[in-house]
Amino acid sequence: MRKLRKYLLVVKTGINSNLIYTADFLAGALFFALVIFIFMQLWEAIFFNDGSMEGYTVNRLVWYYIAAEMVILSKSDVFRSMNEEIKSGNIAYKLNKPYSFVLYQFSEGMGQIAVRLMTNLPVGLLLGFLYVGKLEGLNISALPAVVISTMFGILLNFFMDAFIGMTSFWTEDNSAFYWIVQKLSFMLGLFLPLEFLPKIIREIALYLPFSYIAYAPARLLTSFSMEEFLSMVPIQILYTVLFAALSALIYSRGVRKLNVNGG
Amino acid sequence: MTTLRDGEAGNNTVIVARDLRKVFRTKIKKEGFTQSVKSLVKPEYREIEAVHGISLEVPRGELIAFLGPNGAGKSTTIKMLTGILNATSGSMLVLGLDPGKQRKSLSFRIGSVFGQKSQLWFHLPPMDSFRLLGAIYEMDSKLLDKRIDEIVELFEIGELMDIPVRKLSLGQRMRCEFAASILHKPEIIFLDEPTIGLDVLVKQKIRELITRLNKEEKTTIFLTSHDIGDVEHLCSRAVIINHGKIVMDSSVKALKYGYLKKKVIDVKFAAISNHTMLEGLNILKRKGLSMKLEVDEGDGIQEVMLRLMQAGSIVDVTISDIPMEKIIGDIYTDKGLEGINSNTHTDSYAGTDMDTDRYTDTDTGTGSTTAGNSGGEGE
Amino acid sequence: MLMGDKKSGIQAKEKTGTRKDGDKGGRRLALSFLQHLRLICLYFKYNLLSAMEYRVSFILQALGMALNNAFFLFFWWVIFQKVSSIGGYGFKDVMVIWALSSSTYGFLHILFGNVRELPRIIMNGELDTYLLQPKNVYVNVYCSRMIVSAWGDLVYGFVLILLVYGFAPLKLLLFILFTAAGGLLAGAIMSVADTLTFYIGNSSGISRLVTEFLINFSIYPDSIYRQSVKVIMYTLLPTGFIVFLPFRLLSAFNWYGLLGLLAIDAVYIGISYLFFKRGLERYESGNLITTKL
Repeated sequence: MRKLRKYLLVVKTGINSNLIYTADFLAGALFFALVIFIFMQLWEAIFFNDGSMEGYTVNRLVWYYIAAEMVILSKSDVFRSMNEEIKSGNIAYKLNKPYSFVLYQFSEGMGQIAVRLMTNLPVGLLLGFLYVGKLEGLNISALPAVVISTMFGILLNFFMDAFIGMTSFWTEDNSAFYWIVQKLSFMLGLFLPLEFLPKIIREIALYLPFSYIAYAPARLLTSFSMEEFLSMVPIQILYTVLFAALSALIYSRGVRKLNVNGG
Repeated sequence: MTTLRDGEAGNNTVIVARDLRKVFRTKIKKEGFTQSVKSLVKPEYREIEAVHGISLEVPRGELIAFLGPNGAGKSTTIKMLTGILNATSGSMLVLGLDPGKQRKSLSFRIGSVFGQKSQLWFHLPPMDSFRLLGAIYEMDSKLLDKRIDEIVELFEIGELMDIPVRKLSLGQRMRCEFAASILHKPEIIFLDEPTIGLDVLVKQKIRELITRLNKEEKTTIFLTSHDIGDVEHLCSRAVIINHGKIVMDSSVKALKYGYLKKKVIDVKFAAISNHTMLEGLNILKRKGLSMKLEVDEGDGIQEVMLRLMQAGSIVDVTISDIPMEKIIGDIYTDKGLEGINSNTHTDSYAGTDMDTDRYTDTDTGTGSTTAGNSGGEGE
Repeated sequence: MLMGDKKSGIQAKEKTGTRKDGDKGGRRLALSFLQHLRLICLYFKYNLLSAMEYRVSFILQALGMALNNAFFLFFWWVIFQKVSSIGGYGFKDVMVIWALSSSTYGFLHILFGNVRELPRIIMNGELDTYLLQPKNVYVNVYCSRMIVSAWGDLVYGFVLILLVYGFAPLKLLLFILFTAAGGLLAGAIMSVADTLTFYIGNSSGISRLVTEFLINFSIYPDSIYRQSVKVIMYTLLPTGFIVFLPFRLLSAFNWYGLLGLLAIDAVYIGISYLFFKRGLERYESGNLITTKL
């Protein structure tokens, strides 16, 4: 119980330390508004305000983008923080503290995500309503499924970041990996629904983890089907568990390496 | 040094400052979301007077130390004199130019080494930085080459010129840093903490360079340092400021001897045969056969030494000045000179730390008795 | 004068520099302009040498940036599989816009890399170093750094434009001119946001936002926006002058357009410079500390 309280406190600190930066928050919200605005304009120009493409209307595409962007923007700084701790060697001093380094990073990351989600969610909803009105054909009963998928999308994103962050035990230039993974998740589900991509790319993407960050929840929100829920969410969970396990593995290997080298 | 200054005073003054003031307006930051939104919209400010009416004259060729505790206004003053900051009020002339209005013209003629701010490019050899600086100071390439040769010889950095700066030791880097700052033959050089973080040997080397620069190029040196050793070894004059005001302006010699006509004697006996001889002496500390005494300069020393020799057989004796750090530390804390001169507070004097709190029973505020130009002879 | 023997060439030159003879003003200005141009070239040279110390990282970063841009082109390719034109823009037109944007911001960040760092530089009192040097602070501070990855942007733009137009010397020449002029204009706008730091304290958030807005309003066809947005694009955030007017001139050249564009660029840059100069008078070195209550 006491142990849990310790990490809950870390979550809270993560939340608080983010709340202080009012200006950052405002800047973030404005950026969010900008990109959604541009995409809305783009879709409207393409569709001339009516018609649809691959089952998406302008309204649905805008809501799709809001949902996807919300998952992408509500991410933690775990990659940067892991990277800095390990590269600077500070991690050596954190290992003998009475907490688990991994759990600490996880708690702090969750705190950051909570803040960003709490600010991005109202901003996203507001912008959506202002720009295109309420989502067409919204299925209220599907919302719990969307929430679950969003949660795992965010968790998957977190563990992928953590995993790449910890590769800095071995390599100096790991920001290239981070960056490529980021771009792949942008391309395979953020800017465009997978349905827009050529068939072969779509089929490959459904086997890879990247689309399960933003595409899955945004797709389920805008055109829910039980079939897709049952096919996508299990894979989301699978990939989340896989990257969590990989993170744990790479961490224990990394720490061992650290001990051998003496930090 | 004193005579040099006497000779040059008046007609060859390189820095004149009159009643310089600097007020900073800082935003008050508040915690919490609503408060911080409020301060984004309507910020509140607080005024802080960092420099509080400083007047100063520096003759050409002087080595002047500008001292004071953290936050006393040293850096702010230097920044005003070099044209980095505009003064809130007051007037100044550096080399006959107004730093606030003629910053660019002035910068051709002054140099600076600011603490740990580097002028050198981290990934490139010093030679490249020198070439770039040469262009910045608009030196033609022949002149630049000649000057680089000169400096390389003076600072003995020939073998460092082609090594990327990141691979140099801190001491080597400081030497190059220094060299870079005098490339354009500045008439005045401002040094802000030039020896910070350096080991004893490098410190000595840097001090030597400063002295040579002053002698060979007649450069006026304006130095701030927390290392009192720098002041003792380098400077002829010390200006001490605190709370944005000059609390003392005097020659280093005067500071050391004039105001403090006292010496400390450490003595160690093999055996003490005549204890009565020790009575009445001002013993600060005593431990077995070793003791530390304070004596007035002049006749006092002879008398005390005679008595010590009669008291027993002496194994070891040293006579030393009261350490500079102690003197300056007391001035910082406004305990001033009265405190040092008074005999009542010497009970526990020991060591060379700046243990200024030993004089706790002295009144504060006496430092102001030495304010102004009391020690600045020849101005 | 005691220091008579010290009168080197530097000081002699300096003396003529401060003389206020009116007739020499023009020549002095020209001389100063050349000297600053030389400074920019030297900074460029040494920045490049510095980057070359880490060759592999340099190439990786540049390639990465080019790849990043290529991802966006993929996005457009996908869209143009579905529709043939967006507000009059075809795929080739979007490629030209991307070429212009990419090279323009690349050029800016290569030559004036500190454009994103200025708020921090001001806040940390690092402007001191530049104030102590006898060069224009505006030029000196901005060009003293190079963003290595921007090389990827610059080269990517040239590759695209060659793909679209083939080797057409006149178009290429215009493209180079627009890249440089647009880069300076974009830099001038970002600089205004940076310079706010002198007035209101740390403006890095605003700076970042302005940069994001500029870039995002440069990489999508301008015809998708409604009138009110276009007004902004030709005033406050003049991506119209950075990318879209150059784009039109590139496909249909006319002299008035070109000269008008350059004149407008000059006005923006002039305003930005004056704003910086006024702000600089308020510079408080490292003392701009916010007190916490």
